[in-house]
Amino acid sequence: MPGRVGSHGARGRFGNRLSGATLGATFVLLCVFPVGLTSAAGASTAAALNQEPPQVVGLPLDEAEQLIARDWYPSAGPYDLQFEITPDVPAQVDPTASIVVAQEVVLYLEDSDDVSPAATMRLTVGSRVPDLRGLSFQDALDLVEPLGLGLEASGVEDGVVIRQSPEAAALLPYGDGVRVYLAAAPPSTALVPNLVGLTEALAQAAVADAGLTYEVVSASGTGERRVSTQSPASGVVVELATTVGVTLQGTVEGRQTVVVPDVTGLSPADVAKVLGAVPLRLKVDATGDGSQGLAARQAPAPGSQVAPGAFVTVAFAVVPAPQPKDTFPWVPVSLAAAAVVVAAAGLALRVHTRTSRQPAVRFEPRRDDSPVVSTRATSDEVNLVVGVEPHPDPGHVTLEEERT
Amino acid sequence: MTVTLVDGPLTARAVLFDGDGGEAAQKLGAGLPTTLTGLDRGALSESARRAMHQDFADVAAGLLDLDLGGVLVTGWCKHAQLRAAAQRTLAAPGSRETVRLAEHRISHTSSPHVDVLLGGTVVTHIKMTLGVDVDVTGLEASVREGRLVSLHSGDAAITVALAVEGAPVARSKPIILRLPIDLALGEGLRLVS
Repeated sequence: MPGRVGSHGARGRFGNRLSGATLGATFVLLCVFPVGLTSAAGASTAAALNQEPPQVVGLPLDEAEQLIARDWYPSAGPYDLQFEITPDVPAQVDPTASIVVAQEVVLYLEDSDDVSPAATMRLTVGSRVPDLRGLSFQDALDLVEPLGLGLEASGVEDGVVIRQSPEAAALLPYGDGVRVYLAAAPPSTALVPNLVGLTEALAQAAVADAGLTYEVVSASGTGERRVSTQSPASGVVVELATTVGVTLQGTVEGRQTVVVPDVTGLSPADVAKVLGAVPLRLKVDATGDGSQGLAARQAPAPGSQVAPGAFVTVAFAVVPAPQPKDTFPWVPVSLAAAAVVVAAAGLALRVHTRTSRQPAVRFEPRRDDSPVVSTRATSDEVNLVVGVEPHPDPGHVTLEEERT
Repeated sequence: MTVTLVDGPLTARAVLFDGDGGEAAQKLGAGLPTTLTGLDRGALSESARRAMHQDFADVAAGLLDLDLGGVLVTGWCKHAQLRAAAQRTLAAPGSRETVRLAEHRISHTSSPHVDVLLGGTVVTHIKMTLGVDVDVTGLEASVREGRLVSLHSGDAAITVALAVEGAPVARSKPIILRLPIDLALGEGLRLVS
């Protein structure tokens, strides 16, 4: 009957075989084959033993022994068979709970007449790795120690296991350690975020990020839908995965735009009032007469669709005051005045000539895309460009972590 | 004043001028230093002066479009507790940590400036100073895979101040931004690279 040795006696009979006296008289061929190989090595094992050894990895040790005795020993032929078990079963482990985690066959082929060739089935025993995820370090240790396994932890000391290696159900020899990574325990509760006014997509994202469940209770209207009410209310602490119900209200207009009104003919104050009510903003066109007179032209044109708050550029022009209705007796006076007019004509002509030689400065906004905003002054005698050029500064941010 | 951030960036200009761009331009135009008004004399007419002031005000107001959400995130990226949580969750895919932060202050300072050119030559240089202080209390934040994914609670008191050439032009009253603003965080904001 084949013998069985523990790890302490692993060399057992082999130690005797490989003693100096024996070794000198025999030709020894030592081959080690992991069982189950389909390679040439595995084929050689099977050929040497007439039959492939049984697969026992994952089986309880007792069951593995029975299987080997039943299926392997009868096929041994001339071989002297035995098996050895490593490592020792730790004292705290129930021996009947040992599981075979690896197996291999060692063949000794000898041509000596007085010694039979030998084969050994080496079995490595250990435990099946438990699922440690979600456990604290101490709980994980309490679980692996009775299994004869160690624990190597890293991460947050008071956290829980979020990752382990090997994975649960893997087979590990006694004495080997399971590596675990611990992180802060996830909160069991969440604060309901404020969803009112948000678009549906943003509300969904907010609820998901908080670890809660999103549910539309009712929806009405068309266009872009936004949350009008929510339950539970924002700021309430609830269990994770709690359902947050929302009521969605559509915006009839969909994407927000406003129509540019016609402001031509209005005074600056009225233009500002009309645009402000839309709401739009007034920008005075520098090519006009500043903020005096009435609106002569505008851009964008009336009826255009623009974003709320956009600028509408308006050029104002001073309208000559209407001549008052006169009742003055022009006919008699005109004759008398004619002489005066003729006499004054020469002087008036000189005055006009001098005035017309004053630089007629006109300002036009520059039309290119340069960041420089400029105003051009043009005339026959003056050509100035007044510009302003912005220079942003990204600045710097400082943090004071503890405010007292 | 309490602001609930719905969508779109909350800017320093909006806080400073209650979101009124027209008012911003008006105040900034009024804040022009006397060095600039010197340009009014000489060949420039009244309409040219007004146009120049308007252009300056528009440009200067644009420089105030500082995204305060970005300021907060930049500050939080420096917070040791959040960075530590980010590192841990980055090392453990699928993990999530909730961090409660003590009261803290995030500040931003920048000095944009505007050059005024006449005939292509810079005739004056107007310096603006923008200061933002955000006092954050009771913040509880979730971090996942190295990213800030949500803010569960907390308040942010925001104060914005603006000076032109060292002279205060506008200072907002503190506004309270009621968190959570997790909806603006999308897939989360990377805290560590």
